[in-house]
Amino acid sequence: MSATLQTKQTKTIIWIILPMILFMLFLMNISLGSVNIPLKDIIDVLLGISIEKDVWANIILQFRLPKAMTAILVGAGLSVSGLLMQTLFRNPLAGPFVLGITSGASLGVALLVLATATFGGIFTFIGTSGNWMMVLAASFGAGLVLMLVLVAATRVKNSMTLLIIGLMFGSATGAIVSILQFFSSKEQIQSYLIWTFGSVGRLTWREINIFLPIICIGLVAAFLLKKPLNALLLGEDYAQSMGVKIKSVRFMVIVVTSILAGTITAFCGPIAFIGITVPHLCRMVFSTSNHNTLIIASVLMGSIIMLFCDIVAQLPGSQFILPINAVTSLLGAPIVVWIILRKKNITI
Amino acid sequence: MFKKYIWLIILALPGCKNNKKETSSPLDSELNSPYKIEYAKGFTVAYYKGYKLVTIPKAWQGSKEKFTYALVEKNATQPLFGDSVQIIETPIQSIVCTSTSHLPLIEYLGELEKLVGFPHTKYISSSEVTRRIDEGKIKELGTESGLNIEMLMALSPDVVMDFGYGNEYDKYKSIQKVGIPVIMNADYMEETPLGRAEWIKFSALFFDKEKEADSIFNVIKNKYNSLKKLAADVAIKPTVYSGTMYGDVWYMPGGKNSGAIFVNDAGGNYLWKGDSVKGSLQLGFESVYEKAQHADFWIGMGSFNSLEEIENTDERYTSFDAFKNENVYNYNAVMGENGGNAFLELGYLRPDIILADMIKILHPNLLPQHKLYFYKKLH
Repeated sequence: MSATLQTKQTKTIIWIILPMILFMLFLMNISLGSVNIPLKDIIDVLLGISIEKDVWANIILQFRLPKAMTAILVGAGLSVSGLLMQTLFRNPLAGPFVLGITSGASLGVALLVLATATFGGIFTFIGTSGNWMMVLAASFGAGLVLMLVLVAATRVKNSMTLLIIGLMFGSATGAIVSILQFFSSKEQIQSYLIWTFGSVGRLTWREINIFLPIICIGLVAAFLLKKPLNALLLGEDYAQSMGVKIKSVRFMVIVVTSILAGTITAFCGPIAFIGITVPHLCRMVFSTSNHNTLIIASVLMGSIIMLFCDIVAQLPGSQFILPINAVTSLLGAPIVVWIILRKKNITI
Repeated sequence: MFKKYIWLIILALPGCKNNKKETSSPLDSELNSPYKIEYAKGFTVAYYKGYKLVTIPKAWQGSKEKFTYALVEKNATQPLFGDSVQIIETPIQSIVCTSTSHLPLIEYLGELEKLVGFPHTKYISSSEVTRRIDEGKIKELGTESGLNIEMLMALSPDVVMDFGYGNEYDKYKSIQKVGIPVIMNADYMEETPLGRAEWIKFSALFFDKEKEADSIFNVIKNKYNSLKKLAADVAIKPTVYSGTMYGDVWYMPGGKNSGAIFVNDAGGNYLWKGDSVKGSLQLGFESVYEKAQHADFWIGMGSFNSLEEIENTDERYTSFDAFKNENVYNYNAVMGENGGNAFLELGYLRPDIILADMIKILHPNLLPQHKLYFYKKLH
């Protein structure tokens, strides 16, 4: 009896501490950057009090605040979609991108940025660097792969097969992008390469107005799937015997993952490792595989980690910055290794 | 018996050995020449009887070897040059260039009919050169990875004017391997606009047109210096920022970049002028915003053509005063049919026009007659 209370106590403490950490990191994220702004001014701006230097107010309200919001949404979205993928495929190394969604988005962007050399004509008329064009192109590519995956999903019996199909779609689109790169000018290649570095700082409030609702819908939908997801943990056959409609669950999980991962990739470029690492961290911290806990935990933990990575990427105090992908990978890889070594293995 | 020793005797005779000297014979004395190089540091020339010696001390950053060319008059007796000296007979009759910045150096000397080939011709902005390409007089020599060596061999020009960075992508070695002389053009290493323009004197050496190059450069130099003087005494220097963002990084031309030099020579205050980088600085957006939010002008931003295009690419650009007041100028006013920018071609030879444009932008009352040429205001 006392053992259960102990665990309950620990869990409650964690549920209180995590949001506090999130809030603290949120403040830190807004306070730190290439430009040193004193804390007092930051709080004044957030409270709506006008400060002396309007440059600083603009930096905080127009740049750092949207960036922090984006980081939170990206962290939450990628973690939850990673969790969904790990459950669906019962594979600890699965992440939001195993279905080839990011590769589809990359293909869309590559066609926009690189294909002017090969195809000219229609693509030059569209123009190469409009931000909205990039988002649309990435969404189009991701959507295309999504449709192919869904068609495959309705036809295969086993989810493992779907995993392999997803990986193959990823390879195929990667190959097409390589060919496009081969025929491109160096400026085009540089443009494309920079997109692959990922960026949470590019979204303005206008774009967040669209980004936020989509991610929230995806997160809510994921939460509504918690019961079938728990059932899936027991194996597809067992779940089916419990009345879970495997094909429709699979369909929903894929759609939700694609909406989350696809939208994030479309707006921010591919961001690595968060989707794989955070669900494991949550399982470890909460000692559970129950999706009732894990989904919300992933949202919190993912936001925290992403805010932290963004702070590091800003290299506060210096004029220079790092690409966010580098930071998430440098952070994520050791964490996964540490988790494995600590638990001797990882389970779903 | 005599037969046995005849080889010994022949070998002992002087003059049968190959006398390789490092440079020209010590008896050659340098001739006094009126051809003076004032601003360019990238090449030197010395005149001797029957030939000229051109030296490129540093063809690229960190170069450890220098390039020496012996330009010999046709039918003149050649002294023996060392292995490292490339011998070229002047005046040359055909040339292939590998950079659009080389083209004005040939066109302004009136030697365009000697240009027989060029890689990636679609980047060329000169209408005259483009016309000759369309007429088939200049062959396209480009491939994905660089120069089509086979086609170059078939063309067999007297020389190829090339450039290098000292890395594995330099093509001059493969050109030399097929027996075609390469002249390295290191104009991009120059630190001043006039130094870069003075390379017309370099190219003139190969066509024996030093007199023409001298007069052309004098016009450019005098125009530039008088413009610089005109703008030197302005009371107020408008603040200027430059560059564009890729992802989250703003590429800001450094303090020693020619963009910065032009702004300062035109009586402007380039906000990053204190810096000593010749290329571009990579700055976070916040740093740029803090320093340049209230700057007067935004000059030079890649290939943007309109304010709307800028806004669609990244809304953050619109937060700057210069954007709000529409004081945005770009250097893509003159473009070739296929997207070649004249600023990156003719611009290097005509810093006087660029300076006039810059003064017109920053202090329009100083040059009421001048119309912007390379630059255009974005709307």
